[in-house]
Amino acid sequence: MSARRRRRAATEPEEEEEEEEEGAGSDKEVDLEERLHELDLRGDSDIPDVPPPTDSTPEILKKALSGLSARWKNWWIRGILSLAMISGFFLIIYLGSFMLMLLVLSIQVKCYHEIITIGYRVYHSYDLPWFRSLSWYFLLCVNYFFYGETVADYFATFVQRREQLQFLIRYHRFISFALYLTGFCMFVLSLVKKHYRLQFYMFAWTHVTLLITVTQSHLVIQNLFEGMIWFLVPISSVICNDITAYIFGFFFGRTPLIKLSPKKTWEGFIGGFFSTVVFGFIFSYFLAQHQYFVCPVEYNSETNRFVTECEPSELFQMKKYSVPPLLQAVLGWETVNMYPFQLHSFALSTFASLIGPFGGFFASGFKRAFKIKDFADTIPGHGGIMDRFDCQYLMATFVHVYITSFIRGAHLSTLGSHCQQVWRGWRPFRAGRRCCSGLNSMFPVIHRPWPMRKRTVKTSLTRSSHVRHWKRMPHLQCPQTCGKNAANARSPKGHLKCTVTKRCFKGKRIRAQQEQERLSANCRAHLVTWLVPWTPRMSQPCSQPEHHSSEGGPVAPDPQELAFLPGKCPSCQEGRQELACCPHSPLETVMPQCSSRDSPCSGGHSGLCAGPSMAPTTHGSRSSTVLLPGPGRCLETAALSLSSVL
Amino acid sequence: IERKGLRGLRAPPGPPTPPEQPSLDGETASDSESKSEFGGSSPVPTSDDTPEVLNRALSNLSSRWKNWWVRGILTLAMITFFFIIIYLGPMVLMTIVMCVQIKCFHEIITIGYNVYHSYDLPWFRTLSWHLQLYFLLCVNYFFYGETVTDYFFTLVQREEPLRILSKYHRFISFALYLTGFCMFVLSLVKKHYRLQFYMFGWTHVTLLIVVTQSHLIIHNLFEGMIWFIVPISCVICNDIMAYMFGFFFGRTPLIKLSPKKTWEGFIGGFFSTVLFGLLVSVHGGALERVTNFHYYPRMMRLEETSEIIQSNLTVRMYPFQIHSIALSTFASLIGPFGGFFASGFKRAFKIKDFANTIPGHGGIMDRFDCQYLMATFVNVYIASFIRGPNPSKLIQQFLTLRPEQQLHIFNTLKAHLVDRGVLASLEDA
Repeated sequence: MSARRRRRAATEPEEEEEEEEEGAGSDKEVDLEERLHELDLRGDSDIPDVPPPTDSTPEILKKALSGLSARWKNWWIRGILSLAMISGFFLIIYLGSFMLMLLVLSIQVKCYHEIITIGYRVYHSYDLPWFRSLSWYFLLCVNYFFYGETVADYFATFVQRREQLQFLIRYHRFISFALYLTGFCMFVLSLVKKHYRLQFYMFAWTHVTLLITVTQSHLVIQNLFEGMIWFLVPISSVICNDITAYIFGFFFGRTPLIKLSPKKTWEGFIGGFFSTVVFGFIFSYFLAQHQYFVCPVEYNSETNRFVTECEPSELFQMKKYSVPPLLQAVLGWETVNMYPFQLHSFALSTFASLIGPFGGFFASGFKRAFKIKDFADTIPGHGGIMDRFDCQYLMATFVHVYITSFIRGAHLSTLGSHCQQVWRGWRPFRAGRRCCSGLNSMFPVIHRPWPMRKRTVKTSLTRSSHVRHWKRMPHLQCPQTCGKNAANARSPKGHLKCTVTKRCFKGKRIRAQQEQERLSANCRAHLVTWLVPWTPRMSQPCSQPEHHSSEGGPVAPDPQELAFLPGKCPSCQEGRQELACCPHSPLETVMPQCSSRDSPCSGGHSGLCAGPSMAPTTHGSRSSTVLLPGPGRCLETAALSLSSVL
Repeated sequence: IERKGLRGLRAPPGPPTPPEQPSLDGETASDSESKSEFGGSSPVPTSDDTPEVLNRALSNLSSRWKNWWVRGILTLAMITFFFIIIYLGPMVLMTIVMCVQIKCFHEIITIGYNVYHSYDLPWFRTLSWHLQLYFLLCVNYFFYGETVTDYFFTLVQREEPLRILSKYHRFISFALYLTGFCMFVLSLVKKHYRLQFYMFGWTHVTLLIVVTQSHLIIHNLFEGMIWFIVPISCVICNDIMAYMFGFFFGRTPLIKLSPKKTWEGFIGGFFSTVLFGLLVSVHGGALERVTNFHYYPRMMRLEETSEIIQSNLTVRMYPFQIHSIALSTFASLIGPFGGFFASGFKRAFKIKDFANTIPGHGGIMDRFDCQYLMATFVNVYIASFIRGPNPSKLIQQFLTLRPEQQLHIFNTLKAHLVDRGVLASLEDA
């Protein structure tokens, strides 16, 4: 484990040296550079370049531990603070994915700050013009770029509703490039004759730091969106490896592992490896049971929240595995039930414990190179934030690559973005209309088709739920017109019905004029969404396209067709209402519109984007079947449609 | 000091420099920096590479004009070479881009070695030199692999080994990189920690600049030759024109960083580059035909002529020409900042040129410093303002999906088309 933290404390007495001569005048840089190069050539001299961090252990701890030897004192301080950090971590997990994203962001900023500060100290470059602000500006640009990409990808529906955001997203790359370029030009303009070299050093330093921290934390967030489990298992594996390696090393450590950090031992390394594998296996077993961890994190624009509910993908469904014969003899079992994800967790924890430490070695080599003990002294007993996260960063890339290569299927992922490009190309900016841009929100479906939303699979709606369902959808009620059957209209009940219908239509029309623009943006996604519950009952698509006039002008369906249809359309089975299918577009062939027999198809939905009628009519209720657009749904639909076509 | 011109990139080499003299212009030579620790160990100044023939032919000219002729002739040679390459087609172009990239990498890394005095540590040099090369290889493998998967899709699908490679491409390249990383960590030697980390950082910044940018250039190439040729020729034109304007009319210095650049050259370069861009993009169609670039036929859309109506005056032009104005403006206004950056870098490390590969011009990197900024700009420009997806690529990708996914996409697409009225007639029929 990261025993390296303390190694300097043990190995070298720290000498503090006044290293900065302020205002050394014109030849200061030359001086400093000479010194630097001397340092380089001399190798490890024992002049600390950076003042060692002061001890910031809380008073209470100090007092409580005053009776212990230094070794055990360190052990206790570390233990307590580790526990505190872990519980804080759990709290944040409980608070949800947004808080996690914020946490990642703040950690990233802190790490950046720590590394940059070291750079400043090493190069004694406090007086470089603009440099502090420039390096923060670069951080801002790069973060803007990466977070913007995330927003464009995962908050598509949210973005669609806001005009300014759409603009920002569309020209996102251009804007971020312009921002970066501004920084670049400012850098070039801020070059001062005396400090050329220092400034270039700091430029490179900034960029390597950006490369390490920002891109990695971007990957962490991407993993988070794949499902909380892809975030938690790797991170906790690394943490577990750190802790167990430390413990094993503490108690059994004999053989030193690597010169770079003399406190690491082979015993700790191996013990850490085995315990991490076991830990990962068990931990992922527990996590895989909960949808909260398993499902891809999605932003639901209706509720303004992150949704983590779905039908878990195959990875997270119990499967029977036959035990390899060698193990069979040992264990006495022939088959084992486990989640496929647990197999993947082997890969993750193996990486975390075998390769992950190299990130730590790298960091400790870095610290040795610049003669610092810790990156900062943010956490007593642990050092800076960067000390804690050095191994995590390698891990993030690994998980990302692992997902793209083994979990997601390589082509599918790129296809997702390409499809989005297609729809973007068709988007209102070009076409002058906003209809169907909801397709954008649909396309993450192809991006990540595995987990399916649970509620969509609910095939048997109870009658009451069905009715409730209809009430939420006026456009399904409206078709019960009064115009066709005069007798019906004259009866009081019929009259009432008629008024309701008329009002309904009127309302529809008004809304159509007013809100078509806004509502149709999401219509496709919702169309697909709400039609799904019907599809399973359909044995065959309605084959004959029906001609219908504009809204409210129904055309009677062919009686033969009607006769053919009962039993095909969902509500026909309800007994009371005979329903006809009115296919007019391929998508509706898959998911027919149904209406009652007295007033057959209402028409008006001549395309997929029929305007307001297709728009969501309920708001904010996650319980409703209507409003859970999510990945997998459309694919499910497609699968069903395939089976019905064949 | 005479101000010769705003020749984009480096201080012109002037008369053959005596090799020992740390070749800085008078201004810098006099300041405190030059008597710094670099006395003997700073990078060896470039020796004169001018061919004998040229030397003899130009022997009776003043050094200023001599330089002008050497440069002019070699520029012409390079441009001719460039045209030949273009004629040979995209594969050769890609190879050239790659060679240039490797050469640039080599030049920068060599400077790094010189700066850090690591010549005296032979074992270290070979070891870490291999490591740098290895990193270069990994990153190139990654980027070229991505390109191949993207653009040579059918080829990849046909060949079984290639398919596996492309499927696990990211994993493989990550594993390769990781190997290099671990080797680096293991090769850390106690005495040279800091040096090694410097070199690590140096390598990575270089990789960031050189490899990713050349990757972007290749991407632009695949968007259509014209996106490759026009930006590059704009930058070249700007360099040349700025040099010429500066040479003949230069009075007012532009920036301290490179004292030979003048406002006159800057402005003259700007106008002539815009003009040049407009003219060149008229012939974009012709260029396109010459280079049978069959992988990516999407320039067609941009080549359809459109009419711009402006106060009763109708101009017929390619829409691309409008874009070319943006490109050439960038090339002449922001592009030089790449040059300033490079010249600041050279000053910082007290070298005159990156290398002495091309006589009169310096190293390859001297010629391409502005190009690199340009490549990113073109890429971003395409992504933001031009990009429509490539239909054939999309179709190819669709075809690899599972049947139900294909059907789903088909249905959605059809529905969409019907909705927009494109397919309505078919529906009614």
